[in-house]
Amino acid sequence: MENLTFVQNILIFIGLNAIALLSLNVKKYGKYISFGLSLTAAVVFFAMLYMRDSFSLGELFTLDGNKIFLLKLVSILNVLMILINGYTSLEKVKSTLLVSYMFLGGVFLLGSNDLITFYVSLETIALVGYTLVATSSLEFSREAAVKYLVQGSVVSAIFLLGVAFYLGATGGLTLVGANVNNQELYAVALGIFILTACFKLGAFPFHAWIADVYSNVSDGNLATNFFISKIIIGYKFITLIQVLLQACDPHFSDVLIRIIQVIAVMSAFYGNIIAVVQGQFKRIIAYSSVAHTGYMLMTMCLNPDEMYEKQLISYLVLYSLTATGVIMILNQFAQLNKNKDGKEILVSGFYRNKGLAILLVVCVLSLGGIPLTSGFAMKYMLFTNYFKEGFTIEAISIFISSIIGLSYYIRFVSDLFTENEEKMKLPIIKTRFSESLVHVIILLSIFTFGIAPSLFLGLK
Amino acid sequence: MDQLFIIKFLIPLFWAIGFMLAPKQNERAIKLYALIGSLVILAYSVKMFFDLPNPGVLTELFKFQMPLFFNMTYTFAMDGLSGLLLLLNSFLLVIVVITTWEIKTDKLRLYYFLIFTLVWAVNGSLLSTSLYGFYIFWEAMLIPLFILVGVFGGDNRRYASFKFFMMTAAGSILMLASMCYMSALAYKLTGSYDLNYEVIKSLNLRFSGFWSPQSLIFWCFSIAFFLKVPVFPFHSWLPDAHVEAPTAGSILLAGILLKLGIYGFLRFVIPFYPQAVDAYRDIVLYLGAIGVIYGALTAWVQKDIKKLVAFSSISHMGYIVMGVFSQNAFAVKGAIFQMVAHGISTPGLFIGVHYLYTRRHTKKLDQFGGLAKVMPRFAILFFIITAGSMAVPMTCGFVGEFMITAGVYEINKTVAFLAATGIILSPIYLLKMYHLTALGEINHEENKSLKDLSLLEATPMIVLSVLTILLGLYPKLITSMYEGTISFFVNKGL
Repeated sequence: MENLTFVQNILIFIGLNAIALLSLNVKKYGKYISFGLSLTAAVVFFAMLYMRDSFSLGELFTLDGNKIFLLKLVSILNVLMILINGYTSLEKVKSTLLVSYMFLGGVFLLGSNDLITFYVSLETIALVGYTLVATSSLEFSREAAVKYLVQGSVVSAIFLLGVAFYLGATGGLTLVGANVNNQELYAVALGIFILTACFKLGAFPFHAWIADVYSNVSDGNLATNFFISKIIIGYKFITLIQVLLQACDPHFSDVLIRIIQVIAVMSAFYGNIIAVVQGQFKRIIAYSSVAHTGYMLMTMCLNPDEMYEKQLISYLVLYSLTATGVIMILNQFAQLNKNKDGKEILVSGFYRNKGLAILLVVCVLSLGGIPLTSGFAMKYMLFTNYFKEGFTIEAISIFISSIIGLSYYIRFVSDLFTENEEKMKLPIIKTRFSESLVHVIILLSIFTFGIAPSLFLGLK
Repeated sequence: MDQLFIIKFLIPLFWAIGFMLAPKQNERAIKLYALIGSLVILAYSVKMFFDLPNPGVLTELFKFQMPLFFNMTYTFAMDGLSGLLLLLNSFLLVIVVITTWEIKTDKLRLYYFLIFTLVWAVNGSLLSTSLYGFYIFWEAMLIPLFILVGVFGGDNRRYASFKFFMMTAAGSILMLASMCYMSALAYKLTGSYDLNYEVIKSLNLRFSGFWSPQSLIFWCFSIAFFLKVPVFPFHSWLPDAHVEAPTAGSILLAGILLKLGIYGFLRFVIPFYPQAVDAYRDIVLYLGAIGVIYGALTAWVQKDIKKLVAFSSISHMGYIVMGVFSQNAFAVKGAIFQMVAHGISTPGLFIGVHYLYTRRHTKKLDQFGGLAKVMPRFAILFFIITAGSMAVPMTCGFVGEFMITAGVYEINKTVAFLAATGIILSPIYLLKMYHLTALGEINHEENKSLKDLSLLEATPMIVLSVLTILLGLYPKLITSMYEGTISFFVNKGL
């Protein structure tokens, strides 16, 4: 295994998933074979990654340092997500296959050193994303998918325009060590990249797709969307823009940094305020993710730094994991309320499944940044960095916005402990083994990283 | 350093976990377990306090580096002030367990779990001298109280618990923002994010008007603590929380939790932001004085007995804020004494209200009257505690309020005059309360058959009454415990 090249490993991954796709035609056992093959592909890919510290394909593609570390984390999560999705229905197995291709897009995006690979990988992820939303069985999934597709296509076209400007400004498409010949054009290209990042991450005012998407996909798919989209796209865009800003004329970079700051602060306020007035819990989480995007978007303005990168990775991974935990549990509660994600689904939840309710409480408290949870440690770290780099006003503004955030997080807790005779008569919620496994991992990660964030990531 | 400290410190938490593991059926055993736990916690608190070599200075109890949390140092230390509040906290736990002995609920384990966790978090806040540690426990207090009010509270508990949580958590976020700012500064200065006592002192934050770092951080911390105390106009959560909270919540809230705001000022504001304290002293003094009068006047017009006691708390806490910020040794001494006095009298009043409510299922003042005839034991004990709260001479309330008013008079005569108004107002509303409950004729048929307090019920009120008088006659019993710390607070940590 150690001697296999990266290309061979990718081919094994694609090959196993292709066979898994074909196996779906096998009667009776098709879904089981397909599930097994997808899982094998994911496990083999992780094993291959685990043994290596770096990969490269000449100048086009490099995976080293923090990138390979992040990929290792995401590939573990990918295995977990396949387990969550399970093999109970053909639809779930199909979506697992789709997610595997999304993961592949993520791998290439992470390692991309030129804008063509970057663009193609980004579009691969987006296409799978549109399909996942469209194929969901929920009522408004197609409408959400169309919204997502139309807006995503427009942004893709604009991104291509940015690529053209970048080509004009630097004379090439490489992202490493480019020579800037035309600062104005370069600044415009960078502006467009920032806009694309904001759309992909769901920052204000490019967030219109996010609430519909979040409330219209099933748990496993949504979780994977979180992981691939938020973690890899977020990391890649933020670190890329940090680097590209270094080559920008200070006059232009100041303007761009100001724009990022405004978007970050606006996202934090908008996300938190709109989340307060939402009735559906999934939509609350969607808008809270707009706010969280605002919190981390400020990282774009920091100078490139190994430690900041690690902190960003931890924030992205832990946030995604926690939010996924919330969505998974919401889905479990929603199922027993005849799949309605209304205001009432959590009422008396504590009395119907204490373990699940406590996990949900821990997850939302972590999202709210209560001490001893990973959310607090990550927030503390991120905001201290902003203060350290002199972004005092912005950091304080975002802090103030997070006060609003607490009001909707605490609603989850309040509902869970509210006693309602009718709701208490509903059956006890049961969890599958794979779900319980993921719950335990989420709980452990929240407390481990909350109490000892430096344990695994070497954060200082 | 006490090697066994961490085990002693974790006892309330372990005890709390024990409740969740206990069998649900045996209520009596659970209650007994709670009583033993509260006595054990009280015993080790007493021992810890009397083991202090010098109550005048902070004695380090335990210290450890947290290499896995940004290399922060975590220090537990105790002086006369924190020791005294630790004793009060443990004492009130025993009172809570005895007072609510007859509680009827199918969630008894959760009830005690929340109470013991809350007490543990309070202990943690009192003993942490690193800002990070203090913040963790400060936040940890919110969750059990939120659930306690939300699950075991009155009809409007959801609203009350939500409001309480939101307002206090909002203050906490301001405190967290300041901590992040100071951590960033500390990193530049020392290469570490650590925020222990020495590091915060060495930051020497610049003060040059409202927008300077020291001023802004002072206000962030102050708002967090104002909300906790609560000081006018940050008080609106308190009456709702008190009215809706179960008796245990009210006792702990009035008895110790509110004092943590004052403790925060003494431990983390006054020593670190001296210029800001000087610059904004008058503003805080006036806020305290307004609180005294506002609380008293609002209490006067209340028809709900629990709400009346809640507003009286706002009035009394106003005195304490004035005393602490006057920076006068006599007033600071009085303020700390008043913290204890209020921690005895107000829980006593809530216990009285609890007994009335368990008998009549109403808290409306006009539903009582003449109870001295059918509940003489209750009437006597309730009167002693009411007298303590209204600062009658020879009761604990008088000592604290007198010392504060006299000390503040040397600093700001107008504020002292306003504070003195409160001394006149408090007998008005408290005597009105007592009159409408215990005196006069029995106008309601239901009241004629009310049973007087049993020995078990009377015990907490007897203990609190004895303390009310004892501390009124011999205040040195308490003042000697923290006397040595006063100069540290008055001289702003120098």
